[in-house]
Amino acid sequence: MKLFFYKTIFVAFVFFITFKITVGSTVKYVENKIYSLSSKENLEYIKKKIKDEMKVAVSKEEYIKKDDAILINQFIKKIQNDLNNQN
Amino acid sequence: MHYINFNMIKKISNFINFNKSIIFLVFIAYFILGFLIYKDYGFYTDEKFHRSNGFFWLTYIADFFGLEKLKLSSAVKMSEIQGFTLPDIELWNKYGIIFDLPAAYLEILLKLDEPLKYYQLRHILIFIYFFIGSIFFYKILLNRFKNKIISLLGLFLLIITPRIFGDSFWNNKDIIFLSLYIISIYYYFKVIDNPSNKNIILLSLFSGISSTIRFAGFFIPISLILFWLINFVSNKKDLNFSLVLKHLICYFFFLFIFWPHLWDNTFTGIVGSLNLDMAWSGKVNFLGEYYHSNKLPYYYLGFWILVSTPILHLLLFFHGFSAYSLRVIGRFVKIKKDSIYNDLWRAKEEKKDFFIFFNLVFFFTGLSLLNISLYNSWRLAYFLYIFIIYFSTLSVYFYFKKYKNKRFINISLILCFIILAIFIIFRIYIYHPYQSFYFNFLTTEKIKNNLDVDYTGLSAIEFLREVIKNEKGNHEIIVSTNSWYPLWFMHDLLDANEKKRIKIIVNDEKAKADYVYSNRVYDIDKRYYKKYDMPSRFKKIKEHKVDNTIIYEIYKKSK
Repeated sequence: MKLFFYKTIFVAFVFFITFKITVGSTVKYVENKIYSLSSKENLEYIKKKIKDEMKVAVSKEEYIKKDDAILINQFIKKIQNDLNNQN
Repeated sequence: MHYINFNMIKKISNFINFNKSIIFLVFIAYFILGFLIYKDYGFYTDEKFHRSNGFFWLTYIADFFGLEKLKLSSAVKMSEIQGFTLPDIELWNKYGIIFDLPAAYLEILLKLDEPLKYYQLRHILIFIYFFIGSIFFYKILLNRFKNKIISLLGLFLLIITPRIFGDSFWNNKDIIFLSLYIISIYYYFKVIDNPSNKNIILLSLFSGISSTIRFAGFFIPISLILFWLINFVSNKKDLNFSLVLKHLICYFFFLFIFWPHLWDNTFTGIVGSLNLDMAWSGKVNFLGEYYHSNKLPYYYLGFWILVSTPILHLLLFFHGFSAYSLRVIGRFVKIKKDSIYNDLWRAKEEKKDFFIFFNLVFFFTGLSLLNISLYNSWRLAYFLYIFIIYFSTLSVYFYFKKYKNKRFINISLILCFIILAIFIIFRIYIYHPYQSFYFNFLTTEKIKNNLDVDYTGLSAIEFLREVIKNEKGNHEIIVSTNSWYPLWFMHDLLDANEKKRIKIIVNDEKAKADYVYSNRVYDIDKRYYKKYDMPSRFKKIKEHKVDNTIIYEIYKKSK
């Protein structure tokens, strides 16, 4: 009884510490990542980044290269065509 | 006549022997020092709320006992305490009354109407509570080590712990809890020595009162049950169940008496106290990253202890703690089915060490690993200093024991201790009156300035006085803040002429201010918000530094 009691307490304590330091810290890390991704700060940060990028786009003479512009244009037209044909 | 005088002197000198008078002198000197400097300290953001809490319960109790005059005076005082950022006292009256109520009563008794005077009264009261706590700490050490010099050295370690020294003049929660927990531990030791009814009642009284301040106080009855369980499985009879039962009954009785919050709603009151809604809802700056207060890294507490505790304390603690841990591990490994001794300790003295060891391991692992909200550095866990210093003293005891017959080594050790203690005292002097923001000399400037330092805005009053002093004339000065801090709390503390000159505006309108104050504590990650961006017309004119730690900043609008 006595040895069982002490061993149980000891094993439980060691298990708790090991679990917290290994699995627990990984869970905490992931939790913090998710929390920070969905946090208002991060959303504000993304919003700010998008705005900055838009400002850069506006200030540039040519934001999309000619080849890319043709490709995107063709792609959009293709999509529109397919959508119209479906109807 | 001469004969009588001679006898009296002899009696007195027998009564107060040399050691006793030194200890008496140390306490007197410490009290005088506290009395001389308590006015130097700044004011804490929660003080207004706690003053209000004191009058709330004074009104309630005066009404309960039919003391109409007192009830009226208290109600009037309470109605005068207002502020838009102040938590609603009707909703947040969960705090115990052991400090707030006597402070409120004394304020009425002494007829203190000036804000500066009644807040200073609260500060000297906090110091008195801690002073009593330190006397009991000395008694704990004397009870355990039976040596006045070792106990005195341990006492020194406690009172020269810079963060405790600083907080003992303003921190009306953590220091009060620390002091009451010390007294509880003392009576725990007395129960170990002699489990008499008197000692059980006193233990229950102080552990009950300490539980009304911080939930951690509940650990005393829990540990008594655990000790009984250890005895039970070991078939030892030095702690019987009736004693535990007596303690539990008395404990809940005193908890109820000293916590009027439970008078009307006992069960929901206890459950509600476990709810940590009052915890800091903003972000905590830890090494430059902002965390939610219950999502801090596991090493947060350990890191703070390492950077804010003097090296002397740390060295002694690591020695004392590791030596004791090895002993406990040794005992644990050698547990036999039948033994004449207890399994984890031999004598009563070792049982006391085990109790402290158990406290430290329990609270340190719990606070570090269970996502418990920690903020404002680690002030919520300052009571761990009791255990840290206990083990530091144990280290001193081990040294003395080891070199018992080597007088030269003993004297050298004491000299070494004194030199290092003088170095800490010197640093306490440098930090004055900001010892609460102490970092040890190994902590780099980069670390210090990437942590929350003046989280309670102790420096705000100094800022206001400085601005008034620097702005000659009688014109109005508009001031604001650029950090999380309700600066308007400090307006009451200025004298009448100063009050007329200062106009405080909120952070959102800081562009209209002449001066802006920042204690560098933010509720959000300021990298992503504009809330704490300084308008371009403002220039930083001062960075108040102590030991390369920035305490506060002042910005001035350029003309």
